[in-house]
Amino acid sequence: MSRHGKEHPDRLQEFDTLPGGDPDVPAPPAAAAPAGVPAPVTPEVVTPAAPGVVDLVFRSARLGVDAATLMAGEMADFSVRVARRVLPPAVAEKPLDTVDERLEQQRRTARERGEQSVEKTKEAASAVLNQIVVGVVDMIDMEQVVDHVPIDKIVASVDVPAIVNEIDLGDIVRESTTGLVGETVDAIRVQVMGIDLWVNRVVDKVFRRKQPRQYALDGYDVFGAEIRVPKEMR
Amino acid sequence: MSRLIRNDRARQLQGQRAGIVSRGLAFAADIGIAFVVYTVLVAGVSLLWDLLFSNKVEIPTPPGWASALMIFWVLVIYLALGWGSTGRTIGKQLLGLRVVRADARPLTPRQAFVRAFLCAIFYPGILWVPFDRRCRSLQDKALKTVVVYDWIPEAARPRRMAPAATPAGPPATTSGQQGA
Repeated sequence: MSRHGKEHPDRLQEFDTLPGGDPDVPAPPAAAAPAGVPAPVTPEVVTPAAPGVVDLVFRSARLGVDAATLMAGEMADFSVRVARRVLPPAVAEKPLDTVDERLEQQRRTARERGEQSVEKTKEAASAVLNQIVVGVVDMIDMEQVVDHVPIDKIVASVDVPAIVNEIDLGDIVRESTTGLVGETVDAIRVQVMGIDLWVNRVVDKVFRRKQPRQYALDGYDVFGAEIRVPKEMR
Repeated sequence: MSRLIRNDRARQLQGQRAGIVSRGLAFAADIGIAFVVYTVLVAGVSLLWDLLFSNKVEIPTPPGWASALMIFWVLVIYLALGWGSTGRTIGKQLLGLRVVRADARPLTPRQAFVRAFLCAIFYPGILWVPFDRRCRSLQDKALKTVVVYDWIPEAARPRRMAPAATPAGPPATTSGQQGA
């Protein structure tokens, strides 16, 4: 309250006269307001404007400054390292450590700022580019452009029957159907295999069989099974 | 075009002895096909007869015993042709099964015919499958035959008589025209 009172005394008075009184509590909806009292106006949501050319220039300059700061930090760091080698340790150790700490802190800050600047510059560049593209497109009279395109000639040059002939629709339909049917059949087979094994297990349990079943057929190879192949397939 | 057997369990079970449910369903499908073949046969023959020797067309309805007998023989011939050639009928192809001898070799035509006859005349023999350690039906025990899971289609097999008893190789395919 004091904050409001200090900065906007007349505003404070206005709040106090409103139903509810306390400015921190949101005003009740318009329907609940007594007759004759005007409903509070909800403030419009203002979306921030997209960055423009000025922003881009400013942010680029900022990025340059950040880069220069970073570079100066690196140079100072290099100087400290040189000083450490040149000066006797008893004299230079303490002051150089202090300088080193400060330099590290400054470099960290500069790096963070630099990263932020890069992001902001990218954002501004992209916004400016978008504005330019939109502006250019708006300037173009599309109808006039379309009028100048020889669509009839383009369509006439396309050999539609040849394209249709190249697309083997029958093959596409056949392949997709075969795949679908094959997968369905496989799914049914797997289910039935499961039931087969389950029945066998139940029977084995009922008869308390301890010897396992002999499922494998010695000498049978699924991939190289000896079969009689029809003549036309040889 | 080839398609892999994606299910691991199914891939492991290829070449293993099949259970009663797969075999029963395959036989049910075969009986259905035998009925269709019989119907088409009767309708076709009578139509041809009427076209050649009669002035009116009608589909006859044979007496029950004659139909049963004809369906029986259609079934026997159909099963024998399937088992004697690729080792499977359409029903067995559908369920991914194959009939082979106990030594993993294909059935001879005589064995195929006898097995088909025995199966058609007394199919309940299949009920022995879950009780047998080697998953054999009564017909299998009598003729020393085995029914195995085998999803590999004929077109995907080597196009020559390959010696049996070679170890299983690359992942199985369920359809395709490539040489495996």
